[in-house]
Amino acid sequence: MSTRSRLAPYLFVGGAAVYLLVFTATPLLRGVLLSFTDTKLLNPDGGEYVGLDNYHDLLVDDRFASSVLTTILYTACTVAGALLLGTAAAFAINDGFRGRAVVRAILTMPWAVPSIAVVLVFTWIFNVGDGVANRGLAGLGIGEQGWLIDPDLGLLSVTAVSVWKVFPFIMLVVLAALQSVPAELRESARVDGADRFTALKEIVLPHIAPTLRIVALLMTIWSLRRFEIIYLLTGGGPVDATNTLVINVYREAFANSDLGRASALGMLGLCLSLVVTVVYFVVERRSARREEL
Amino acid sequence: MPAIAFRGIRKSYGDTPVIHEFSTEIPDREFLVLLGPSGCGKSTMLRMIAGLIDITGGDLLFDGQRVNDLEPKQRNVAFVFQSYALYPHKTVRANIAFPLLMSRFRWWQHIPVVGMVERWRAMRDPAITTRIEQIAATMELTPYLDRRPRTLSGGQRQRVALARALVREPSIYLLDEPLSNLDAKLRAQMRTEITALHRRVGASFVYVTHDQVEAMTMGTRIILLNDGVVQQSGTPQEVYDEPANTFVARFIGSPAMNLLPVTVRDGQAAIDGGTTVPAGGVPDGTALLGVRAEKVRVAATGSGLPARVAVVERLGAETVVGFRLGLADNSEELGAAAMRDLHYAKVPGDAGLAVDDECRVLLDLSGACWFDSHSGARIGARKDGRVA
Amino acid sequence: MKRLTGAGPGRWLAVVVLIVVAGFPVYWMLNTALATREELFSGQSLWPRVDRIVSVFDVFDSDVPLMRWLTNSAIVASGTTFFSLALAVLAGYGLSRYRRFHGRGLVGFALFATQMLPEALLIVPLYTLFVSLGLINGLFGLVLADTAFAMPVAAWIIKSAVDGVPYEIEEAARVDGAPRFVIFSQVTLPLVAPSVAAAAVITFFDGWNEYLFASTFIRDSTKWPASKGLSSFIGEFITPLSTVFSAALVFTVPAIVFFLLVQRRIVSGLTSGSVKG
Repeated sequence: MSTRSRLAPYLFVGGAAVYLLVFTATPLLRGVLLSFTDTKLLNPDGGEYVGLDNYHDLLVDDRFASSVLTTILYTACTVAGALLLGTAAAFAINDGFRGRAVVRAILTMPWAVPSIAVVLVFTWIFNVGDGVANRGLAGLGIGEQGWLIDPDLGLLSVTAVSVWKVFPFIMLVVLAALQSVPAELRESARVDGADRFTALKEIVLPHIAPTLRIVALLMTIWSLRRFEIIYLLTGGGPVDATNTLVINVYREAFANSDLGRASALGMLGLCLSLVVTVVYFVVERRSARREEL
Repeated sequence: MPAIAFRGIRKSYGDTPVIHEFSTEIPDREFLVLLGPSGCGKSTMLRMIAGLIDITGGDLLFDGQRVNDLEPKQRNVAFVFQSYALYPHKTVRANIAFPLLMSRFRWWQHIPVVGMVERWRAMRDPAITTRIEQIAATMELTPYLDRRPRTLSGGQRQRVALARALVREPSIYLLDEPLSNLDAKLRAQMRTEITALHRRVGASFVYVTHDQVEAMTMGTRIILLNDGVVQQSGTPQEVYDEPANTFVARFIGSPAMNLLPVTVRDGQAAIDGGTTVPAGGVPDGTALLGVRAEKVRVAATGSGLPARVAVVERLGAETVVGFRLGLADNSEELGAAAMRDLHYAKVPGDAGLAVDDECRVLLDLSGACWFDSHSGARIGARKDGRVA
Repeated sequence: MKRLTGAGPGRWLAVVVLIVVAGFPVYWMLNTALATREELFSGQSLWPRVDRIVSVFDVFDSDVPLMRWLTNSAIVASGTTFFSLALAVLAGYGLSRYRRFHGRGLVGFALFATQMLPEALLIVPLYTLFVSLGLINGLFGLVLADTAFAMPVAAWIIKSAVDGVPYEIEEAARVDGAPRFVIFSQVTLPLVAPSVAAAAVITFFDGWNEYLFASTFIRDSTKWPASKGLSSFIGEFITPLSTVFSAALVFTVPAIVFFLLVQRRIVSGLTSGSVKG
């Protein structure tokens, strides 16, 4: 093989590799290093080495524990809600009917709307005095709620908005999976005498199970990453009700100006993401093995 | 037009050998067929000749020049793929033109605009356009020049693939099972066309197939492969009349050559049931007697070995009769067991026999082969270096 | 699949509920944009005053520097798309066709892992990095930051697409004498053009919608992209709501239109290769 062809893979992949090295790997490393210092926002290059102080402070801090809890709660509820709503929507529009294309287009809209617009409109909808949510409740005879400024409802409201934004993706993916169920499989089930629900359980669900798992993983990762919607709706409040890990990191860095602590927080959050991914792969391998038998 | 020489050629992926070492010389203008079952390594070997795959060991020579390290372009070969591998987004004309454009390629044409301008100019160069039109006329593709491959039939795509190979006037044509995607009728027609092409072009052809009929009818020389090991290299007649081992004997010819287990003592071979036949030059012990189906005669009565008919295939001009020696009833087993101990006779016309009939079998031993029952090698095969 | 899930009134009800749930907020955006201040605070009507549809465009005459915001958004989105795709197309091809070279596993892993990282995690070190590079407060710096996160997604899509191109076509081109880059650009790339387009659309929207880096890295309000600009309305009570939502609509409608046009391709691009069956 000529030298040129031996160099070829590096020439193709090199650009992206170098880019990631500079803009992702190095900052990540820097973040790890920062987490061991007491760097402040106004003096990004200064900062003394403080060892594991940041980590120690965080692990004994109630606020940290509660933000982990909030993150887990938010993620679990968003993933569950989006899976349910998305799958239900996919089943609802799976069969062809007139106008289905239009319905599908409308149901896809939440995903298409930019997050900032989503935030604006839901802030208005959840507005305590004049928002349509409370006016609707008034019409039903229920008293007005605080929604985004109510510590008990804050997380729920934010979760609802997230589910709304994200369920079309699940719907589209599950729809694609549903439509890939081979007709012959279902026909043979009918010949073998299965009724509709059994067919659903034995044929359709196993077929879309891998898809659902992948989608669940994606949803989980996206929920762990979600910043904009939460930050702009509630800023992490009220009273830290929606203070997920990523929000916490941002506030530590830019509101409390403590870059060192923010980085440590970020590293701990990264561990959470890694744990999730490892769990996913373990579950996936076990399910795949079970499916092979 | 180069002769091809394989000197100790072998191929391994890591520690796994896929082609075992072999050597042979192919004279110029041969129609060489690489024949064998799926997975035997014939496509790998073809790609090694083309330069698409590295050669692990040994030397490959075209006309005495070592080509191991040369890129396909430098070896002056053309390759026709099983799936034709036409460029789907280009017209037939552009497909045929592509090799010509590439032969004029210079490094500065990598720059986007310069490259596009050069291509535009090249397509208006009369030298190129006349050549394309010539080739298109030869392959009867003129009405399709501005169509895209997906609008063409299988046979037409096949011709575009051939045209793309022809246009470069290579020294060696490499064809990888080009007919396997065509229906039977078209296949027979294209066989004739390719053979005619070979005669006309006067270059060496290397043709890969698993179909022994194609190999026998088209090739001037056959290399038979199994599991990466060359079984035999010879002309079609040699491979038919003097198979090097039982694999070759049963792969070539339809139906497969009959192999009857015999016990040899003092130059006499005892077939099942005690009948003996002379077996000169065969050492004592067990052996296999190979007799082609057309050398076996069956009749309802008369002299010969008693047997029971198990299969009758009427082909019109001839009949193939499958039988088992001895008079045991045909068993009721299914699957592979049903094929056990089956031997075949090919007789002209109608045999006048039906399944489960008794019959008498006569063996014409002229041209019969004797095989070692352990190694499968033919006893008395020539050791002239042409067999691995 | 006919009759997979019961047709019938239950299903129609579900569809209607879903449509209302999915469509209401956008509908409400339109409704609010068309209402006057008095209407809004004395009980907003459920139905939009469609006759005033043209008033949406009054936002361009107001104090809101919407045009400038949108221009900035367009610059960021285009820049991100250009850089991301340039790198992704090369990397996707390289990862698909070259299976055995030093560092392949690492690069593949890096591309995958970056898609999992929260931007909020890297915001701190990226901020300090950009400060030292002098990229703060510039749209170019924003493009670079967005590209770091958009490029791996695009590379993944393109790699899956190139995996689907039969290798024999490239072998044929090689035998025809084409150098590797010509094979890449003239044979393979045209064949994966739809996926490249889908990746371009996804990347464009990543850049269009991106908020975190935009708000952290840009100090100068004249350089705000629309995502940041619109966020400045939250908690501020000066700008009339109708203007705010008119601006939001102008920002949103192109996104919706383009999205609907390509949504099928996006899903198949994202899930091809990762979904069994």
